Amino acid sequence: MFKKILATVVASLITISSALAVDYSGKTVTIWIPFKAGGGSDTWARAIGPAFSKNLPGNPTVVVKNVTDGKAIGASNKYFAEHGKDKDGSVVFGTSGSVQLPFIFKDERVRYQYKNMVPIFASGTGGVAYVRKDMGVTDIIKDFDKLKGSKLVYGSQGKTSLDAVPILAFDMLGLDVNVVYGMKGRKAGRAAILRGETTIDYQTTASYLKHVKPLVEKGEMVAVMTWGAPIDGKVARDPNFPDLPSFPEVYEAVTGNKFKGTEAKSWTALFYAGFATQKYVMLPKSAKRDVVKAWQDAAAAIVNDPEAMKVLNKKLGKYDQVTGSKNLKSSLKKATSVDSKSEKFLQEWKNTK
Amino acid sequence: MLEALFSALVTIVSGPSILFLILGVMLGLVVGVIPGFGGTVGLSLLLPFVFGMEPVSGIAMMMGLMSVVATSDTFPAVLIGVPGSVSAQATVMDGFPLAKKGQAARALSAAFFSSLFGGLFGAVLLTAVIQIAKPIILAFGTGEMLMLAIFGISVVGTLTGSSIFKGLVAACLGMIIGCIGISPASSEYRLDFSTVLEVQNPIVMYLGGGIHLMVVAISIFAFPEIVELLRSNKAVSEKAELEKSGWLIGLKDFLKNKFLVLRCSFIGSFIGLIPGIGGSCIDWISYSHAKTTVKDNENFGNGDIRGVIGPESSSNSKEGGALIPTLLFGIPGSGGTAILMGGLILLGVDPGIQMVDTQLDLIYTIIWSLAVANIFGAIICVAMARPISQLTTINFTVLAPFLISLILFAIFNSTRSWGDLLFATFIGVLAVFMKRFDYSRVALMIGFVLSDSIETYLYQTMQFYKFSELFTRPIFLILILISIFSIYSGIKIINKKDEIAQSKSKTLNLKTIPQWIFLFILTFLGIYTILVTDHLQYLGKIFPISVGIFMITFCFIIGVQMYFGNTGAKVFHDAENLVTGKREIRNQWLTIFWFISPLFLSIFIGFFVSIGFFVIIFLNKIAEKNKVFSIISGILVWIFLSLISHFMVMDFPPGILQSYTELPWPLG
Repeated sequence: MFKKILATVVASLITISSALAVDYSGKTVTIWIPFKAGGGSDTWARAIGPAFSKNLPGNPTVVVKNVTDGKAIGASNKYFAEHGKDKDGSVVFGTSGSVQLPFIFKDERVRYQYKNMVPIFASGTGGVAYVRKDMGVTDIIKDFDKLKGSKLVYGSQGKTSLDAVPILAFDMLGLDVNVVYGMKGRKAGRAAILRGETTIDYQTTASYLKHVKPLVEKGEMVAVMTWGAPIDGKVARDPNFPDLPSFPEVYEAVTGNKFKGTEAKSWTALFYAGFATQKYVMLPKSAKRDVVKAWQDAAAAIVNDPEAMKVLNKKLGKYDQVTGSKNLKSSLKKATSVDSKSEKFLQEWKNTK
Repeated sequence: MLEALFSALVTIVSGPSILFLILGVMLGLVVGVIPGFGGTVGLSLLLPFVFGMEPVSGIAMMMGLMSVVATSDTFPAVLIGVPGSVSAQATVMDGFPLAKKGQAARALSAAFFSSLFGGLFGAVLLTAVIQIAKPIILAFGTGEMLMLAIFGISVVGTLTGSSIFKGLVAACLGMIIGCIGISPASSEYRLDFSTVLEVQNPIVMYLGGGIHLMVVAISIFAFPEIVELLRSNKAVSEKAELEKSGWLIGLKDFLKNKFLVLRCSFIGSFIGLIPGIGGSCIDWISYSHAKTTVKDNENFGNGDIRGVIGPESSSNSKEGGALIPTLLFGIPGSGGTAILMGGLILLGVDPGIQMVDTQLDLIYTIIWSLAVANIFGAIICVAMARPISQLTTINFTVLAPFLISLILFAIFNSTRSWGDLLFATFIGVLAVFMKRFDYSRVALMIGFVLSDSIETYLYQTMQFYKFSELFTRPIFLILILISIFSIYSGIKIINKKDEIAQSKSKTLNLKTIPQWIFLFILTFLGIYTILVTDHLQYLGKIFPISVGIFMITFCFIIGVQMYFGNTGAKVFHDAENLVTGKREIRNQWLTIFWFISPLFLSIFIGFFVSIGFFVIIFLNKIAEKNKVFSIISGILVWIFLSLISHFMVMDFPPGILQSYTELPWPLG
């Protein structure tokens, strides 16, 4: 009995002291974004910034710091060099697919380790692949032979960018796609298919809804599949597009194989890193436990903040925002780790033309 | 449509939006005046405040800022020869020589009127074509963009100095600098010293990100000018008294050249309309257009007002053009519109095809903001032109420490890295010698700006089109004709220059060894490029190696001309030989040392601390000002830097001192 009371007292004392310990009143908290102002990650950070300010103890001023020294990799390295051992959580790190993918592809410039980070909040998105109407494809599974027989050209930013997901998907479906590199972002890819220079393209959900859906409705483009969405630990049909099959569905229907094996595993890892949980807010592992808790609690509160969610949904599409220590840990693991077989496969795949 | 247009005007000028618009205009003026800060930086400063604002007010504020930057960035371009932002590069060419003649106020006001007209032209064009622009934009495929980029390069001939080969070498060097970083086609790192250093070396990491445009633009133009002014120890203006009624003359100049203004405004809007070629070469294209289409162009580069009017009209009209693809497709046509788009999304406004159908009123709000802001901006700038021009009568040695601090800061703001400063110093020193030996710096700039476009579009065009297919595309063919015409005009201009040069008495260049050394260094850079890119994939190396081969070839031709020519030949040029003998000139290396001394100091005590001390010491010792004045100036610079550091969430480069002790903000 006495032990129980003591335990309760101690526990409540710890709670009180920790609540007291983390107080950002009058302070400035920085979200370190390794991308330039005005881009996707920047807009995302600026949308969640005020929400964090509202929900963190002491309501600190939250500012976004755009670091572009050495592009995404260099700026991420720099975060860990300068703040990798911080304890007070006053500078948090905002990542994106372009930070995760070089890590997965083992780019030798990467100096950051995801195992040294604690995730606080994660936002996912999806992607939709579409083709030009003149191809005559309306349903990718039924018209697959037609698609295969068409002249397929895809405009890409590079094989180790987010484009790894579509390019590997095309490879796995056995589509002979002529990949033309040097596109400056997905916007340039979209411009190219509008001009008719490419014939197949994909956009992330938000951009698809805004820019491609009107064209699909007008009958200029045809949506063929989504990359899917993570549901119960699997890549399932994207609830934003209930009528479109997900890539794993298409793969199984077209090839007759189960969506299993090294290729499928590698693709899934890329999908998690690039889409399912694309953007993370993270603290260094050295941060105090109550600091981490304060941030994670604030993140949980943001999900219930309709105004912040409005911008996030607009920016990324309606996808789950991951909060809670346990969920975050498992999603970060999926987004940043590959087994040795898949790793070997990806390295070889990267170097084939 | 007219009704919607009118009601949008009412929304803008009534209520709080007009106040936000003026606030935006004020910020835009400041941002434009500070070198290195353009619309891109200014808008990103506004983004945190935009979130949660009422959309019309937010749009008014952002548009207010964006549309006046291209007007106010003319101040530093004319007064100190440093472009205030990317869109004032070409204004330096004739604006600064005019300031030297004591005609700064005239140049400024002519520029502002042209800029105002350009801005309004852009707004009108935007209104007229937004609903029908889709096929025009889509008609420009990669083949056409490639030809546009090649056309951009072809203007080098009209802008370069007396030796075409020196201009071509400079253009090649610009393209090589543009190749630094990730290759567009093969995603490989190039020219980043990773062949000699390990990949995680800070220099390799910095170069891997590519060289920022403003780092090159500022150092290539400002560095040599400032070194030169410091050496002669005079004011910018060679006349102590500025010419009277400057702005009226400016207005007259503007009216006299109204067709030039109209043509250049059209060029600006039209190229701005096409996303993918970028706004950075528009100025040069319209400068070259002005130079080739007017009569009596011998004075271009030495202070011809038309060299200011042309690029200023286009630099502001391009924003209206660039807004069209941004609003229509959500594909921004310039750096500024890219951030504007981020801001619009934060406001809950989604640019895209549906906007023309459902939110036409917001589009008109944007257009009116653009127009009204331009008028406000131009009025304020014209009013300030004369008082600010007085700066050009102050002895330059007093201004120098402030300018040097400002320039170093602007360079550092490019990617906020030590590498920016280091590389800018390298380019700056190179530029001093390019100027001395008459290698066109403009050619280097154009090569640099277009390098990436040419490589990317060349590669993509080859993949997308068959050779014969290209020649059935009318716009492609028209662009080829325009490029050929541009090359032809270039040759004509150079020949004309030769005639003039021959009629003048020749200067005998006795010392030729420095010129030989410089030529060898350039040749070496070409060879180096070939050697270190040879191990890359075919798509990664073909462009830099081709450029390297061209560069070596041109260097060889210059070498042959120098070897066989007598010392009076036009290929020889050394500005030093013209000045030796004048006693009051300071040593070239000494002034270069002054320029980079704050950087040396920064290595030890950090950038922030060192800049203040540099100002104090320089003013007290070199400009021979009294202690009180020097110390107060130093403190003011410190305050200015801390304010910027606070508002821009920016840390200055630390030195050895900071790595040993933790210092409070802003020292640390």
